[in-house]
Amino acid sequence: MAENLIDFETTGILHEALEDGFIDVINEFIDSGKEITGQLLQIIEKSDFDNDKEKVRLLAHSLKGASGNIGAHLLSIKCQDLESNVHTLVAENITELVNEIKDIFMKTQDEYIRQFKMAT
Amino acid sequence: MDTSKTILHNTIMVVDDDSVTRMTLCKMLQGEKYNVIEATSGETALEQLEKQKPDLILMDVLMPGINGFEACQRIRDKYTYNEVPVIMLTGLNDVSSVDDAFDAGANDFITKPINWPLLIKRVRYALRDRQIQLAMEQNEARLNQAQQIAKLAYWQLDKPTQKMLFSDTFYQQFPSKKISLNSFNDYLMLTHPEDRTYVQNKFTEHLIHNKPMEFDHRFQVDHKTYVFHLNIEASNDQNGGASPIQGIVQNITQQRNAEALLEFQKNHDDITGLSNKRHLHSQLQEIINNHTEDKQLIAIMAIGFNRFDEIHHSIDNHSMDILFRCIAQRLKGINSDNILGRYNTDTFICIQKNIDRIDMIEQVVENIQSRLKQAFMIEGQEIFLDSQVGISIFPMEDDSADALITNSIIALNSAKQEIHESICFHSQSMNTRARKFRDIESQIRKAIDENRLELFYQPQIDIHSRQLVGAEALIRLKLSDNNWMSPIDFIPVAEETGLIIPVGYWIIDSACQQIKHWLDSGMHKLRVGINLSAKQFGDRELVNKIDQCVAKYNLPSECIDLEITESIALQNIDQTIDSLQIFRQRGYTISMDDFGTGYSSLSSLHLLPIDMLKIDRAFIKDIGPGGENGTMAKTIINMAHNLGLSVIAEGAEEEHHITFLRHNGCNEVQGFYYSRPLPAKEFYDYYTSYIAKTGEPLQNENLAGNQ
Repeated sequence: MAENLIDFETTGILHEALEDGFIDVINEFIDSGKEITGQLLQIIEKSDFDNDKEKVRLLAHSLKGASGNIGAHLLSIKCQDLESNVHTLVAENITELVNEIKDIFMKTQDEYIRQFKMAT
Repeated sequence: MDTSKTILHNTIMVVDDDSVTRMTLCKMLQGEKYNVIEATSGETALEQLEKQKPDLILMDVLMPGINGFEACQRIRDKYTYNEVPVIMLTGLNDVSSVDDAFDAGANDFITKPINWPLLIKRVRYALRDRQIQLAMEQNEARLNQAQQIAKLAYWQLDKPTQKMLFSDTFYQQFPSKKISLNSFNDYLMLTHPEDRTYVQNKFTEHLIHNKPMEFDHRFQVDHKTYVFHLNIEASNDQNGGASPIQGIVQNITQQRNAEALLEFQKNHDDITGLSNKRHLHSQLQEIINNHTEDKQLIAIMAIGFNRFDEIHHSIDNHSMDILFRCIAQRLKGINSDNILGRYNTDTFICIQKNIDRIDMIEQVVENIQSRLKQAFMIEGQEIFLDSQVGISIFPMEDDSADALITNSIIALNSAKQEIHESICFHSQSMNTRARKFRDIESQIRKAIDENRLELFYQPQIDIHSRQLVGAEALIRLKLSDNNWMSPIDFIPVAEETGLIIPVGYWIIDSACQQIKHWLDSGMHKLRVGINLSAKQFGDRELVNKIDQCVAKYNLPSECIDLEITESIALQNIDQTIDSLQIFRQRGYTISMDDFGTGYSSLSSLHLLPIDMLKIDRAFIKDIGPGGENGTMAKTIINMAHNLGLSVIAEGAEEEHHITFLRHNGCNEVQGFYYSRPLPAKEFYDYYTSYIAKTGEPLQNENLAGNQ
């Protein structure tokens, strides 16, 4: 599971290159991820969020970029899925996908903390 | 070029709204020792750019506000690809974004998710490329500047199309921005007209021989002339002769102007701008070396001034310089066919070419002196100069420039020593001749004004009938002391000065008046010979003037015999024939005077519409009592008769001359045997007594006589 979740080659490169700075990046990723997923959850809790689909797409794009660039491989894929299909998916599927993204983010966060012994 | 050090500490701007990616990029780049500026949006990036120009920008595409493409475009509006390179961060699968990135002016792109090791290399290569490009730009700018300073331009000519292109530095040579040359023909059209064929031939020669060439030629743009040094490279043509011709062209106008100025300064006096001493010598020597016209003279006139030291002491050096410049200016106004120089402080030299006669020199000197005689206003002060001129003449004196100039200076010094002489020839004989010439000219002018010219008449006798058939009118000049001046002395002066024209017409008028007087006095119709000079014969008004005189005195035209010499007749044979035919149509007879002394050919003599030959006295005076030395006279008589011409012998002084001439068929004689030239009144007396001795002459007979 952890192998699918995170691209360790990328994180390894970043860790080596950024050294302690990498922890800052992960912390920023966690903060940013929490904020984005929080915003996504807020949107899907609405009874009708058709008008917020573009906002969902941009949030998915943002999290996709951040996760992809630091090796959060699975999260990036899921965000890409949401970004690409948000305008065609029905609300139910979007809600399902957002929840899935939130779960994957939580797992990814835990894995980063575990892997790099970060204080929470 | 080692760029490893220089690209360190370069500044990179990271533009991304995603804080994670932005932070990662920043830390990654800082870890590579780059300075990093962060921007969270396109707008922020543009604001930051105003404050600090980075060496590279990493730009995300999708951002709130203006996106990465638009931000990149705005950057390109201000900065070139090398000044601020931009690497766009695009999605992996987004091919159209890559195209859009390049369209917007991005230098490169990196796909997301970012391959970090690759990113670092791309950044490094981008910075190194920028460094190289900037260095090249700098080198190009330096080269351009160097070419601009050297006024050097590159050109290329495409042989098949004749299209020609030039580097920018070529056009920078001209103030006008409108110049645009697209073809070899365009180039030729702006080449100086006198150099076009030369330039065209050079290119043709290059095309034939493919040899490197360089040559100078003039170029004209907006009425300004430039001097170009054009270089044509030999082409190492691997393209079957289709490779373009190329080379460089350099504007060497300033260099040429500087050389010309230097050359001018080397050869000219810096105050007056006239030739200096050294240059005068070489100019004169060159003229002498190229002198081919034997009859023409070159006068070297040294011009100096009396009391110059006094003037020098009365004005300061600055005013003296102005005075010298004014003198030079006045001398320049003499004519354009001379060379002027300043020989030393107060001596000028004028070299006058193409002089036909000595009196022309005196005219030039008079012109010089009259110009210099007028007051000079120098700094409010009126200065009068008294000039003297010393003259030497080529080829009469020497053939070296040094000697001729020295002679003129010596002559000038002589003139300065003579109180009343403002002109002095170096040659004593020239001085004597010049004085005599001036004196005779003056006498002629006075004689015309004071009516002291007179015609004498020498009888002409028909040798067979012994009748007095005519007379030759001969000019005489009575001097103020009542002595007579020989025509041998004053006719050449009258010829040289042009006074022969008024004198000649005076003769015609006087002779006609005299004939009229004689006819009115009962004298039978005599034929009176009037000599025409070369100048008079060339005067288009001559026929009219004679006609007018004949009409004025109501004379029979056969009374007029016009005498011309062989040399006049042969000057322009066709014109002479035309003129003589007109005279004969009027009824005047024509005699060829002094025959035998010139160079008439039989063929030309045959063509001339004349009536009579006058055998020169030289062929008569030596004829002996037994007919010795008479062969020439006899031959001329026979020849003239064969041509249908009458013959009159001049200079018949002895009885045996008359006998010989009569025996050999000569028609008429003129000479001291019968009479010397006589004043009109004495001629009338002679006529009266002759008639009394010989009886009445035949009337209405052809006065020219026939054989």
